[in-house]
This record gives sequence, structure tokens and C-alpha cells, in this order.
Amino acid sequence: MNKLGLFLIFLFSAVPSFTQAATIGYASTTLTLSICGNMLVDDGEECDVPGETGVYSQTIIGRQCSAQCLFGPYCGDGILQTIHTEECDDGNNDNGDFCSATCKIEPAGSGGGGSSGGGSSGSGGSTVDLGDTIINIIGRGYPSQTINFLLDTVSVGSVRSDSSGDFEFATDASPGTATLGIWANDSDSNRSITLNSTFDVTQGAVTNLNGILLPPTLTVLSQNINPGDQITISGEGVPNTTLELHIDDSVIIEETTTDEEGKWSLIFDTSKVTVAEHIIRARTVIGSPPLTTESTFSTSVQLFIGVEGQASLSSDLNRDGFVNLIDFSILIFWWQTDGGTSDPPADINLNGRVSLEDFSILLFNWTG
Amino acid sequence: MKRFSALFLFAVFVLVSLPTVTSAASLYIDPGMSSLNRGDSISMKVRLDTDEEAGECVNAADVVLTYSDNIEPVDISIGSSIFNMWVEKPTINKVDRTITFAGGIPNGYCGRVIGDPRLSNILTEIIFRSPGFTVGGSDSTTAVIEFTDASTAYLNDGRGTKAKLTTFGSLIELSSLPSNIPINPWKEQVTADDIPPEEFSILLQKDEKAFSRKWYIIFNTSDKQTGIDHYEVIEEPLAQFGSFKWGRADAPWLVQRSPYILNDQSLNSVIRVKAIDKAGNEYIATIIPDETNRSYSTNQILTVFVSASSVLILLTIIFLLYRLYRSRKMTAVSNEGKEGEINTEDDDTQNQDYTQTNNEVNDYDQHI
Repeated sequence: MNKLGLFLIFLFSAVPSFTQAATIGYASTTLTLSICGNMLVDDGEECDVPGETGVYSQTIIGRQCSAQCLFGPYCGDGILQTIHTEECDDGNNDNGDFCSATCKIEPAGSGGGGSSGGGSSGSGGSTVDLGDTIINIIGRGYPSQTINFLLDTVSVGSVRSDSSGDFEFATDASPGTATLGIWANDSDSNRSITLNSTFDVTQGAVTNLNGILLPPTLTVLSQNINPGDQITISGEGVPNTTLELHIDDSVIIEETTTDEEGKWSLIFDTSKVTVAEHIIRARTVIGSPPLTTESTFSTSVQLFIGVEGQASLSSDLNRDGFVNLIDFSILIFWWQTDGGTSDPPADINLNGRVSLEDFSILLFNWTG
Repeated sequence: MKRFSALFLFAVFVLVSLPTVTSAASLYIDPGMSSLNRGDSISMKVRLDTDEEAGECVNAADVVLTYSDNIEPVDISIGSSIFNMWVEKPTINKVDRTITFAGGIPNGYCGRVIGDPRLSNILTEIIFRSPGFTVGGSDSTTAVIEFTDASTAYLNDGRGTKAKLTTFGSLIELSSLPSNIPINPWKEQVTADDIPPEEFSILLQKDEKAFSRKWYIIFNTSDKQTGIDHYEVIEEPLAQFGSFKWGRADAPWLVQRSPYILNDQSLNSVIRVKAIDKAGNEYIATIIPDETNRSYSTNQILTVFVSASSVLILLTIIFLLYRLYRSRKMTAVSNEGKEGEINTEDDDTQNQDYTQTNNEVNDYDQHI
């Protein structure tokens, strides 16, 4: 009884603070009450087993209920828990699907891999045809534009988005850790940031990457602005969505919407900020609170309001229109020097030394 | 008991301060705690986490690790690294007991993709071994691997901003007992790797400012199993004039790294680059320079000069011999003409001489 009381105190003290943290910026009036410890699974509870402590279980069937009436960690919960020596967790306790019943990676060829199409007889055969290893990408970007894909820094193709900005693309890949980059030019030839995703590719399987939201483009006519001036900030994004403009690490957030062609523009009153250098960036928001999905941020743009400033220099060190391995090799040539006669300077941030800062800027601007 | 409590405190420290609860990028070693029998090996993964809530992406890092003198690093793998570009490949300095590397990922690493079956955030994998038997040195039963303050990470923000960074080292409990069956996961991994490095191509370049305006090549690939060990380059002479080849036909493979300035600046060579992984699997990429870029090499000029000189000398000799022959013939003809005139005048004298000679022969016969 005493224990139950403690749980109730815990719940009443913990739930409001959780709700506040999780829904910053959105009003939420949902309130639920449940009693943990009555052996009844109430709303908001996953289980209710007095006496169980929620310790890690290697099986779904053996999972333990925690003191908060939630299941403790277990192999098969779909959450990778390396602290419990899980190498993978595909949400089940099956062998032969590349992730074993005990959440260890199964080597390629060791399992049946779900095997489609039974077909042909074939006696035994020790090797199983695993089929192609493919990454399938589904997402949204700027309408009727070419969406470009980089796999491990190398361009692997492009596809044209439809009039709603939707696109789908598939590419062969090697199993192992892969980094997929996606970028596009908007209708005014402004380049988006490259949206990167790093994940593991399973051999002989189709890895689906869903819900990609290409960050919007962002442009301003001039980066040097007089204090108090109103400036027009514009760009392109996913059509008919909310667009947030964040100023200085989200200290100020302005909002607008994109039109049917994905275009957006916003007039920003610079009297809202101090005379200094400021940074603006934008992101797309889809859905209504509390169920919203945000894209990652666009390229950051510096605004020099009432102060002298110089925008970042080009990372395209050989002036061929791309930032790739060639520019990296030129940067390496001038490494730890002042950049010598390089033009544009290999010392991209002009701090007098070609170093990791310049390397980082070059990687940011990478086009492949 | 004292050792145990130290271990316990460290465990508590590691568990409490796991990277998942930090609000900055973090570098950590996985596993944070482990134990090793004498002679056994362990793979320690250096991992990177970003502050996903803040939308933080990291694109470069410079890492310096130190390790205790009672443990020995034996190899380093970048096979599962999220870094594609290396300014400094991982290097072990056994004198200073440091491991250093600096690299990056174009467009940044932005955290775990939901549903990724593995934790794809490895920067490098270091294989440590507990010495079988040691003479002298530290007799401590715990080994520590930790990051130095020189370790830095850079945000993917296009300005080369240093990320706020927290680091978490690793503690290994060393047993004085040898294991019954030596454990060496790295050896197993290397033995199992029969997949060559990823396909790649060679870029032939010349820059107006860098590399002393010389032709150079760029190459880069990855191996997603044990990782690239090194690259080798060969410049094979192009066949000319049938079977004749310029330069050395037995040109050796040279261990090189990208960018590589070509020895044969005339581009009359087939250039091959061999990528070799830790298991010895290799992939060879080849480039034959375009004819329009080729020029005459020193060898070519020398050979043409020698050939032309030889032909010239031969022609001169033939000409001189001919002249000599002609001159002699002319002399002979001229002499014959003169002799004809003399003969008509001195016929009697010649007949007398002939008679005298015949008499001398007769005297000799008689004497015999």
C-alpha cells in the first residue's frame, strides 16, 4: 500500500513535467490517470505486474514489467540497446532474418532471409541467393525539380519530383554502414543543403528510407543590412507546408507557408534584433500540433546588421562548379600552410591557416 | 576490494553520463567497461553522438586517445567508419601511447535514423590486446583508454564551428589468468573478409596553382568489412612502336596515398591504383590518359634523338664510303688514262724487264 502511494506520488510529480518538456511550443490538455500496481493494465500502461523490476530480457516472452508499469528493455522491442550487448533489434525473436533471436547480427547467407518466391526444387544447397542489396528512398522536396542522390559521397543518380514535390528513388548499395545524401536546386537554381542520413544496409535486403523531407532553400538579396531595415527572405520548399524561419539558434521564430509551387517569402523587420551579426535558417513543418514532422534546417545565412562582415568564401577550390574530391585534394596540398597562391583561397575562412575549420567548411559545401 | 570499488565508481560514472543524456556532441568508446584475460583481444569502437534534439550535425573530428601501458593496440580498422575523408588516417604511436586520427563526413553526421538496425556512428575500431606475459612495466590490473583535451569535433554549419564536446573513455579489467581458448574477434573478422574494396575510379588532374602545375591523380574508396589498409600505384609504360615500350616495363607498385603526383608527366603511361583491405583483398582501378593530354617524354625525346642520330651517322658513313669509292674510282680511271699514254712510250723497257725476270726464274730451277 505504501509502495502504491509512492508510485502515485511519483506519477503525479513526474507526468506534468514530462508533458511540459515534450510539448514545448504546443498547447496540450490531454491528462490521463492510471494506477500502477493494481494488476490491471490501464490507459498509459503497458503492463502491470507487481514485483517485477523491468530488467533486460533476451526474449519477448520473458520481458519484465517495470515499476512504472512499462516494459523493461528486451531483445525484440525494436530498440537497439548496445548496453545490453545487442548488435541489432528487428522487433522479433526470429532467426534467419539477419538479426538473430538473441539480437546478434547474422552473417549474410546464414539465414533464409524471409525468402520470397519459393519456386524451384533445389535440394538443400548451402548458399542462398540473397538477391540485390537496395536502398529505396521516398520523400518530398521542391516540385518538378531534379533531386540528386549521393551514396558515400559519390553521385548515384537523380530523379525528378512530381508537381507535389514527391519523389522516389532506388539504388544498389554495398552492405555495411552507408551515408546517403540528397540535394536539389530550386526553380531559381538555388542549391539546397545536402540532407545526410547514415545507417546500416543489410545484405540482400531492401532498406527503405521513408519520410525524407528536403530542407527548404533560403536566400536574401543582401547580407549587409542597415539596422531597422526590412528585408525580404525567400526560398522554396515542399508545397503547401508551414515554413519556420529561425533567427540566432531559434531565439526568434517567424512563420509563413509555401505556395503550390513550393515558393515562400517573408519580410523580416531587423529592428527586432540587435546591431550585430545574426544567423538565419529555415525548416519545413508538416502536420498540425501535436503530430508534426520537421525537416532538418536549411543552409545558414549570415546577416550583418549594421556591422561589417564578409560572407564565407567558396569551397569550390578548382572553380569547376562542384565541391568534391578534387577540392579536397587541393585543400590537402595546402594543408597547414597559409593557403599560398590558391584562388579561391584554400584557407577558406581566412584565419591564416588551412586546417580542420576549412576542411569542415568544405565538407559542408560538398556536392559530390 | 579497492580495485573493485574503483571499477564500480567508474561504472556508475559511465552509466550516469552515457551520451544519450548529454546536450552536446559526444565521443565515446564502446564498450565503456570490459574485461580481458591474458592474451585475449578486444575491439574498441570509437563512436560519435550528436545532439539530435538541437538538430546538430557534425562533419569533422580530430581525435587523440591515450592508453595505459598494460594494454597494447594491435590494429585499427576504418571499415565501418562513418567518415569517408581522412586528413590523417588512424595512427598508433607506441612511444607516446597515443592513437590519433582526423577525418570527416561530407554534409555531416546528424544522428541515428529511426529503425536503423545497428548503431551506425563508428569513427574507427581499435583492437587492443592484453599482453600474454610481461616483464616489468605496470602491474596494474585495470587499463584505461581516454580522450585527451586535444580532441575536437566540428559542426556541419559551413563556418567551421567547434562543437561542444563531451568524451567518455573506457576501462578494461585485466585478468591475470590466460583464457582457455584465446579470443581474437579481429582475427576472425579478417579471416571472414573475402570481399574486395568498393569499386572506384581515378581522377587525373592538373591545377594552375597547386602541385607545381604537375599532373596528379586522386582516388578514394572504402571497404565495408575490415577497411582499407593502403593504396599502391603503378605507372606502366604505354606500348609504342609495336612491342617497344617507353620507360621501365617492370615498374614496381609503390605504396602511395591520394593525391599522388605522377612520375610520368608526359602521360605516356597506363596508371593503375590498387586498393588493399586489411584482409589482403584488392581492387585495381585503371586510367589511360587521354591522347590529347599526352606530350613527349624525356625518354621519347631521347630515343627519337638517338634514333635520328643513328640514322644520320649511318647515312653519313654510307655517304662517306660512297664518296671514297667514287673518289678511288675516279682516281683509278684517271690513272688508267695516264698509264695508257705512258705504255706507248715505254713498251721496249717493259719487255726487257720481263725477259730479265724469266732468266732469274730459270737460274733458280737449275740451282735446285
